[in-house]
Amino acid sequence: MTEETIKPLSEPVYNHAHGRLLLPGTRYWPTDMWKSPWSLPTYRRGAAVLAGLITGGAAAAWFVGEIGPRLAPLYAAAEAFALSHDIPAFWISVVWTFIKGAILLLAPLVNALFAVWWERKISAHIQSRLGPMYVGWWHGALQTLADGIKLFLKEDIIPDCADKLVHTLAPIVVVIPAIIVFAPVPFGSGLVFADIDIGTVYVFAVGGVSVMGIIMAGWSSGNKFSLLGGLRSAAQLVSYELPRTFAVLPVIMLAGTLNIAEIASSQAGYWGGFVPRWFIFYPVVGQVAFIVFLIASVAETNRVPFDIPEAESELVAGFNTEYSGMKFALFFLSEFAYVLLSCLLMASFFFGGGAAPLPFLDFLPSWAWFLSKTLLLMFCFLWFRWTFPRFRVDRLMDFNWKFLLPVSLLNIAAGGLLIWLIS
Amino acid sequence: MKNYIDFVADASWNTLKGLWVTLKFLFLPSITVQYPTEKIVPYPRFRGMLAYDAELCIACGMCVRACPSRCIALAKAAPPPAPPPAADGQPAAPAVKAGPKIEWYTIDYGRCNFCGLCEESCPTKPKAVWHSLDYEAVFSTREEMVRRWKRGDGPWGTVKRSADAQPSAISDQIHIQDMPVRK
Amino acid sequence: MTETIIFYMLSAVILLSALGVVLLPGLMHSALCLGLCLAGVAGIFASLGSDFIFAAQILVYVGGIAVLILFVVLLAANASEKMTRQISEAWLPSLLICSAFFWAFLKVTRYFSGLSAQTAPSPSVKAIAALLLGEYAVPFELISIVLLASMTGAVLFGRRKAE
Repeated sequence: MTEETIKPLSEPVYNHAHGRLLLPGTRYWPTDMWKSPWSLPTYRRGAAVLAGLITGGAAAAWFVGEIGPRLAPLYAAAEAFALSHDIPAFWISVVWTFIKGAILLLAPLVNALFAVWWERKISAHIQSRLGPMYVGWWHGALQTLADGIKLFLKEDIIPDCADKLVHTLAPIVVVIPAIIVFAPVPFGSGLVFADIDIGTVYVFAVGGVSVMGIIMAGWSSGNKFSLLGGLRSAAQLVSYELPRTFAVLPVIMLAGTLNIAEIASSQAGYWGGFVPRWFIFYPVVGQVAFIVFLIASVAETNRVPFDIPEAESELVAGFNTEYSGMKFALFFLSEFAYVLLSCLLMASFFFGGGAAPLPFLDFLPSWAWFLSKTLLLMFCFLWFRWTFPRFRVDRLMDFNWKFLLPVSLLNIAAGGLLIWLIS
Repeated sequence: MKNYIDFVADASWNTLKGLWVTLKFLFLPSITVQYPTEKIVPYPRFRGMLAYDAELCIACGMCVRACPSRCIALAKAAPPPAPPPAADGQPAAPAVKAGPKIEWYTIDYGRCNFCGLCEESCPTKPKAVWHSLDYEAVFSTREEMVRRWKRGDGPWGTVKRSADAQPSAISDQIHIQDMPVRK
Repeated sequence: MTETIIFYMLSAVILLSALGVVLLPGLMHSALCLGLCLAGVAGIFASLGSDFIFAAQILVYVGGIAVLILFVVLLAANASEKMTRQISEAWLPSLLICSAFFWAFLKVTRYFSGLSAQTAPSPSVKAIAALLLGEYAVPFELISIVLLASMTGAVLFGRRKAE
């Protein structure tokens, strides 16, 4: 291994097996390139591309944020037009609800497209490899679409000794709550589908309905391993719902409301002019609540290190062994929808969803800040996946009942103490 | 109680250390070589596909005897005819220059195990048979695996395409790197 | 008008799934129909405007109790595979007795009925909280003691016998 890092050839070469002209950039990698990555021109180029993407994204967000309020008169004009043509206001609100519902339906679907690609890229770079590079124009951007089309076209296999009706209904029972759970969650200030007063309870309640779907999936597949996988998964999900809900209680106590949009907006303002009033910055209570909620959310969504029920080498993929094609895609979609939900909830509860971190940064619209906080938290989910080994199932339960639950209960008491000290 | 707190603190610290390691690796460059568009040039003593130079070979047969897989075969060329004896008064005819000493030479790449013994035993300088740096030895049929050199063929010989077809020269055979300096 | 349609649709779901609970031969199917029935009841609560009870019903009943029943059915040996006939021989006398009970319930509940469905939920969390922790604090604490006792009893009974 020589001292110079790159030695490209001077003339193009032919590959006699393929008969194609190859790129002249044939190179070989000295193993100590990691000691000085900035000396590699491709590394510098990649960093410049990343910086350009972030700046470009921020500029695009600012631009869209500026033209948004200028479009509001269009909606008012459309509404006046409809009213003048004797359409009752009731139907206008129905149409508007349907449009909002269609946009809300898109949220988990578009998220699945992006999140799967991002997960593959991040996991690849953590493992020093490249991830999807080929499909799509840039770094495999359309890879998820291609995989989705493949899953769509696969044959739908139902095992012979399976209960056909329950087997078909199980993915539906898992996926529908995963979509309707986004109703009270804000995507920015004022961007809520259903601004209901019990948003938090609704989210946790509807999330619990998916557990029934997983048990249905495990039982109806007709083999013992799927049943065991389904039961283990259901036990894990039901157990980890407790610390998750208790971790949010101090936040609810500090905010004084269950409405998620109001919890997010009650964190506006800055202490001393530059520290944002986010709940994560409240001494001890905020940080403990955030960590417990984060760990419990990772467990709730069946991600590593808590993915005993569905990991490839455990119980042959657990409850989704016997699912192929679109049904498997629905389970996958629901997992990523719940990851997005957990990240949105964390951004609303703990990071002031929509509020800029520093006072002078609020030229970016609230949905852009919300999105960036959500993406950062989703990165944490992906980061945990490739750092930790999997929990054994009894250690998983121990971790919940002997650590997370007592800590979250003590946190509630500490939250009460904090409120008493503040007032 | 103290054990519990110690355990939790120890576990948290190790978790954070693990997360830091993973984060560092996220920002280090990837070591993937994206194969058809990027290729690795091996180290100089890499034993790739065999190449042969008919001009230098002295047809000693050391490579045939050294090969453990018996993949080399050769036939010596007949020596050039001796010039006619000088007649009285006529100047002696100049001796015919000897051409390559080899009639034909074949290597069966299906049998070659890339051990390098033929290269080691070749007495010429530079060597007449040597391992190039080519690792893309791809063949479609068994017949293609046997290469034959006659006078004037390039370093990669000719190959029989089918049982009755004439063997054709593979003229665009350039491999992934230049010919390295032969030892 | 839409309130009436919604009420009848939800009632149809509740009644059909309740019939499914008692009439379906497989135990798993009955348990799943129970979950559907409880979700329908939550829908009735939502249509009456009490938002917190709707969410609490789904959280507790569908997400907790129905899942618990499914666990019990699956963990008990062979319970999920038994398919038994659900209609007994003496169906006519039992039908008459049930109709008598139903007529009695109807007379009692007709006195209290007449609530109309609402299109918007009336926020009730603060009111419920004030009641629970103010006026009805003692029953609240008693309920929590009962729950604690049942949890302790469950753990005690579930332990392996000390050798």
